[in-house]
Amino acid sequence: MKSRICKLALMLVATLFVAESALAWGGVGHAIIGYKAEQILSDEIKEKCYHYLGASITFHSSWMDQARSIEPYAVCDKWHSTNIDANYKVVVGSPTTGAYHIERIRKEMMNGGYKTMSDSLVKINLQYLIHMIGDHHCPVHVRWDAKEHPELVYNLRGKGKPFRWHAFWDSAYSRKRKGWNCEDFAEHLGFLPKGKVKKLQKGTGYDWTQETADVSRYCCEVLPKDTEITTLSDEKIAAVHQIVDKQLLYAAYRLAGVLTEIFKE
Amino acid sequence: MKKLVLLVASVLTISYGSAQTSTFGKRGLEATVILANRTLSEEGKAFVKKYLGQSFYEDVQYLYGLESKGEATYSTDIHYLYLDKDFKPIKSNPENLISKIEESMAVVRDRKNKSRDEVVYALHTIINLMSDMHNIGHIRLESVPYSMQDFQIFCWRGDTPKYKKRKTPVEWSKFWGSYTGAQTGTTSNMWANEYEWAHGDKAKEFAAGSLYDWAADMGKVANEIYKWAAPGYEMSRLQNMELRDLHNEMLAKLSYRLGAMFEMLAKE
Repeated sequence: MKSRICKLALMLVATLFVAESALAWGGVGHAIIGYKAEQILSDEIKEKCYHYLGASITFHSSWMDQARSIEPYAVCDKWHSTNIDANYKVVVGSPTTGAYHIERIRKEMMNGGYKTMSDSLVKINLQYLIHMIGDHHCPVHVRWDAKEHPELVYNLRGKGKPFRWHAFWDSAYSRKRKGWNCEDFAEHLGFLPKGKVKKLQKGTGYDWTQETADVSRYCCEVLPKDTEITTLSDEKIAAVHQIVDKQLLYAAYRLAGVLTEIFKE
Repeated sequence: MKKLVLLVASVLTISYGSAQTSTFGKRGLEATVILANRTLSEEGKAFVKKYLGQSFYEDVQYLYGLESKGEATYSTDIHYLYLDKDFKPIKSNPENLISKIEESMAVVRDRKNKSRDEVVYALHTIINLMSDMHNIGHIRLESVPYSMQDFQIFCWRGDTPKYKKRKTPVEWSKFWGSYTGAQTGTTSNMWANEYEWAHGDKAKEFAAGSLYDWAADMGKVANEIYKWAAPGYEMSRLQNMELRDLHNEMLAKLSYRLGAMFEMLAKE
């Protein structure tokens, strides 16, 4: 009885520590995307964002993770990810998916649409976009159905015990990078060549989510089922970093692209 | 069994608290001196550099450092601001933060007749106590029978059925640090930028007035908070999020007032 209570208590404590990391990218990851996007944006577009947000993009990057637990915003609880069907394709048109709302909000706000909205609605929409575009570049924020894709829903191992695949990839960018802050990550990620940016920023939330779904499948090749994560080789860590760094950078560029598209006169 | 329950409760408290550093958090306070430094003229910057090195970056908790080493030669009451119902100080030196700041300002003004160590100590004291003055937990109002430092609040993780069951006790003294402490990966420089973007247009307004005006302003802020903050208070997640703006505003005020204080002392 005593050992059962001990186990329960330890699980309770562990839950508190795991809870934050179960959110895509975690606070740091989203802050990196917001911070990098600010480096990419023109001053003109940044000022417009700040005007509506009342603060920086970086500091609103995790708003949706907090808002999902609050009644008026509980509807966005499902928007952090998007379903993938049996044919490995993004499910289009479902209002319980994030990609749907990325596109909805983009369409409502672009071509001056934001000017027809109240400032508070523009702010909330920006907060949704900032977060969802980040989420939809996270390999674990495409929803694979375990029955349709059992090969893509599994656990890794942490010291021999089951370790959630989701938890690993959510925070993979920080593995072996102890103490790195946003500025360190931003410097490390660098910038894309100008010629590549326009092509990268094209497309829709569905296109980017499809791309992330393909990345997600590749992640399963890099780290297959039951891979022990505590003894990953340097080559494996480098491969992991290559994947997540690219996703963070792409998310930042696409966020910057969407914000520019909305606010450019 | 009882020991286990206490252990779990303390770990839960600490683990929530450890995601937030004490008071405003080291990062938040460092951000205020970064921003204060930005407001200084060349003369002000030269003054700071002469006595405190490159900037007053590392001095925000100087007195606490002395106290932790047992080297304090004063009553720790100096960290507190006691205000009456008109938001005026009600206790005199050495029992009131304002008196100690004034005493330290006098030393700095008379620096030609003081040793360098005395001036440096006085400047450290001003920085530390100015930051205390902008911390609600350090403001004791005559009209309120308790202080935020002395009790816990309970923060709800959310109010939807999925999240409602997660209620966490938090000490107020750790609560205000949560907004900077919880934003892991951010830097003090980023926070300084944040305060500047959000409140830079009010820089002059915040810095205007005397030390007593600033104290009264913070007393009024505290008074508003104490209208709902009381022992055992249960805070919704929404309110938690909404207080972020107030927290940032308090730190922006501290930044601009610290800058104004040093600019004034540099010129005198």
